[in-house]
Amino acid sequence: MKINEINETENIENNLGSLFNPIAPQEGFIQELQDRLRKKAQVVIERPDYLLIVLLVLSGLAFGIFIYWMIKMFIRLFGSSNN
Amino acid sequence: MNAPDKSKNNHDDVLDRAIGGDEEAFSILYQENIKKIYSYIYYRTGNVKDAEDLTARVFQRALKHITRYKRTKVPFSAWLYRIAHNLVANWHRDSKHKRELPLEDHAYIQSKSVVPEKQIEKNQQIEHLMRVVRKLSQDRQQLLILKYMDDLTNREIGAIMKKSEGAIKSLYHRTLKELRKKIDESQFL
Repeated sequence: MKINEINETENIENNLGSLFNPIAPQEGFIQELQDRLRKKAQVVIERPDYLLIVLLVLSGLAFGIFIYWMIKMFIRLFGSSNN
Repeated sequence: MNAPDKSKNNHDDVLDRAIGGDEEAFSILYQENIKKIYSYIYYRTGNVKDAEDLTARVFQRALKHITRYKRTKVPFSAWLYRIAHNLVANWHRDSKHKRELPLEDHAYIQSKSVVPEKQIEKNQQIEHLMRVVRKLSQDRQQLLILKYMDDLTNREIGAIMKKSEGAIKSLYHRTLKELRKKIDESQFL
């Protein structure tokens, strides 16, 4: 390698050192991100309320049985009065 | 025990606690590395918005997978750089983000306030160099950023770029050669 090539390379290396300085993020970003990371760790997964679902299904079933019983009663009453 | 040993043991202890799921320990690692990772991503993307977004994703991913982190001879920051590298690579791949970094945004311009003529000349050289660096391939730009911004060794850079120490050394020499050639060419234009 020629001497001027060596000097040129050294000069480039020096300039590269000046070029890539660490850059500080915008004010508040570091703290804001840290808060977000902490909040994420505290996320609580809410489970569905199974008791409510069971109660709804049971009340629907009871209502259905009641309606069925009522219809049967009507049929029996009207059926017997016709006879 | 001398001071550097004590500091290393302390750092190892923090890392162990973070691997064990200690949030406070992870916060210490976050504080130690946030500026480096942000700077790296900023130089690779060229804009503040994407740098902030990708930096947040690096630490979210690190927090999620820290319990699976395996200790190696390279520093913990190499693992974070590796995550950042993957995210930046995806960012370049899946979009047309390859925007030129506005030179005015660079930190080195701050030194323009120092007026001496030699300084102005130096700044011009650096601005010119930045334009040339931007024309290099992604892996060559990455190598220069890691080498000059964080003073990482060839071995550490190799761990991040998944290349051997020798391959990094050779890539560095080829990069310098290409830079010299491109600078010479641009001076004749």
